[in-house]
Amino acid sequence: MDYELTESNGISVLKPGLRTVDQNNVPVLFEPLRPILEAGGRIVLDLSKVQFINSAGLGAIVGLIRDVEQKGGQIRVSSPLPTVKALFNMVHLSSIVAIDEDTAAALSALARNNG
Amino acid sequence: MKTLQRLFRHWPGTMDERKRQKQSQSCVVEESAFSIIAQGAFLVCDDSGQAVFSGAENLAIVAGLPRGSPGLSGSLPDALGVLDAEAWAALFPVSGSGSGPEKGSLREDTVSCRIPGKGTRFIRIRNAPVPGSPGRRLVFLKDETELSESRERLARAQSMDADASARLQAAVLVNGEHVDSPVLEYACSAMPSKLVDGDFLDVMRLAPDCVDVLLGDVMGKGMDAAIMGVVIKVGLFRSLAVMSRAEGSAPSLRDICAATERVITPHLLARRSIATFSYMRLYETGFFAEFVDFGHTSIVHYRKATDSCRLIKGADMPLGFVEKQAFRSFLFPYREGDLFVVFSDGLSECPGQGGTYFGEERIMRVARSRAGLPPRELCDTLVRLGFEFSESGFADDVSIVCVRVLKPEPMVSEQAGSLNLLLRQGAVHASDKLRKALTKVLDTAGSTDPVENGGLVLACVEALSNIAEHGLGGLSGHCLVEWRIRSGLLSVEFNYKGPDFDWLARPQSHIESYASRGYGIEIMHSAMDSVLLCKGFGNEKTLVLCRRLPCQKK
Repeated sequence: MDYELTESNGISVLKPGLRTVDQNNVPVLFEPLRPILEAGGRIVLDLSKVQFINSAGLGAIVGLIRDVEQKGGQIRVSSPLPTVKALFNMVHLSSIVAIDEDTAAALSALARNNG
Repeated sequence: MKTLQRLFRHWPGTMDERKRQKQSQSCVVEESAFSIIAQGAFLVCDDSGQAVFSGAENLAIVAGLPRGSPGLSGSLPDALGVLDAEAWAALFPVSGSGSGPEKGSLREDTVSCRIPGKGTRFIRIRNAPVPGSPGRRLVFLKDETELSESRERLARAQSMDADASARLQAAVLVNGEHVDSPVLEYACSAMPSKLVDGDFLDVMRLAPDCVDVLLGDVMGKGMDAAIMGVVIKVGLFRSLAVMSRAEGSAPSLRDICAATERVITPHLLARRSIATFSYMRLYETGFFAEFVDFGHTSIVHYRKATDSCRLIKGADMPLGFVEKQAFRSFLFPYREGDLFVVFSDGLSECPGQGGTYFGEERIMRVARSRAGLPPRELCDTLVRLGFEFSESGFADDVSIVCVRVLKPEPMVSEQAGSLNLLLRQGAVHASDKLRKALTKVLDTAGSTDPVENGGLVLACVEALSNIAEHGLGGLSGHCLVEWRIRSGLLSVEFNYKGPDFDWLARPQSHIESYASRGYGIEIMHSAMDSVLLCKGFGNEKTLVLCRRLPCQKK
């Protein structure tokens, strides 16, 4: 799977390189995050390259958020493109996770929370 | 005794046991107590109904003689002064004639008689064989003159009520100025039933670019129902009159219906009545319709381009069920040559032989097979076919409005297209094709807001995925997707064959419970102004998604 996993001040940033997130790729989409998630780490999900997410992709993101919180970690979503933002608005995703305009803002917010 | 009790439905069931033991079967019927209790006269006569063997004194009760008077002499028909010989012959058929009822059977009829001193009376006569006494029949006579007269008076009153209701209906409930339209041709039919049940209809223009069709039905019959129909119609027009509106525009359907509900519902609740109605607005430039359906029967929509029919049905309850409901308006596109049939349940539920109904599917078949007829002729044809189908005329008011869509002049530009997609498990390839096609269309002629366009594409892809998952019943199948953007309205229709699925129920949000699936229907309802499922012949279905685009790209 095409993705970038980087770290900044102890915060992991996953940037999927996929244009579409749907039932075809959700089973492996968040596999790289498993060790960080199990350790209760802090995560930013950078969606700047994703142009389309359907309900199956949304379900996977919601599942990731749930798992991170259950393990005592923190997560923020950043940089959604307009079409993806439309989906998040429709289902009120912001009621369960913070959504930032860019990754820098997400990192900064997580760093503040930790302090 | 028990046999006789079974034969006579109103045979008195309480009999002193001592008397019963003492009396023989023939004696039992001579007991005048029976006659007194049953307010008639029991007697035993021969098969021909001429010779009276016992109980002749009971005739005195029927003949109005003082109690204790000697029994009337002579033959039974003479004693009763039977005027209707034919009815009498049917009650006591000549032995061996072969044409009368079975000898062992109960026979009954009402016979007009001229009883001395009492004038013409209507005597109810029942007779049946006396068990163990061949050639003898037990007869029960009862004077039902007053009952018959009451029935006649009631019928006269009902007839006057029906006449007045019919006049009221013709004058107020179904009248309306004819509305001229450059693209719509229509005709109305209103056929009151024998007792008039308060149907109302109207066609009106509230703004330069739309025509409103209203058709409703009040529960109950006669003057009460007709008056309630008038109350609803007046309430609706009064609401319209006081509604504020911008110059040249009509109040929204939802506003009209909310105002009408506010005015009418207290009346309906107070009278424990309900009313159903269909309010459809046809936009002449946009070529789409909007409707609110208060529990009314479906609207038949014939589509000329595909020679197909579908039933358009909303999701709201009749007026008067509850004080207030959050009703929904639905949108759907139409095209040149299309036909709408709006009707009351007096037509669709018109009973025929063998417990069958005329039915919505028959109306669809008539609309399709006679789609070329002018609306006036189609209305008349539906009324005629319904009447021929019924066993004894219409039991309910029949109201119909047929609307045909003519060729628009001048042509309005539109973006339209279609894809015939094969849906297999997951519908991944089909979804991708649809997504690309709709993205291109919306980029060209969609909303000026790309976020809104993205949501619309997503909603359509979700609709397709849900058809693949739920609509096709777990099988592979084809889905014809047709889209159109015209006059600020995006419509996307998904035509497929499959079992029923509840597309209209908008689910609660799953997000708060962190659910990992079940967002598709929620996305459809969030992105679209209207999600409507129409049923066609057999298991044909059309899912119609519509969205108004107030900021459309030029």
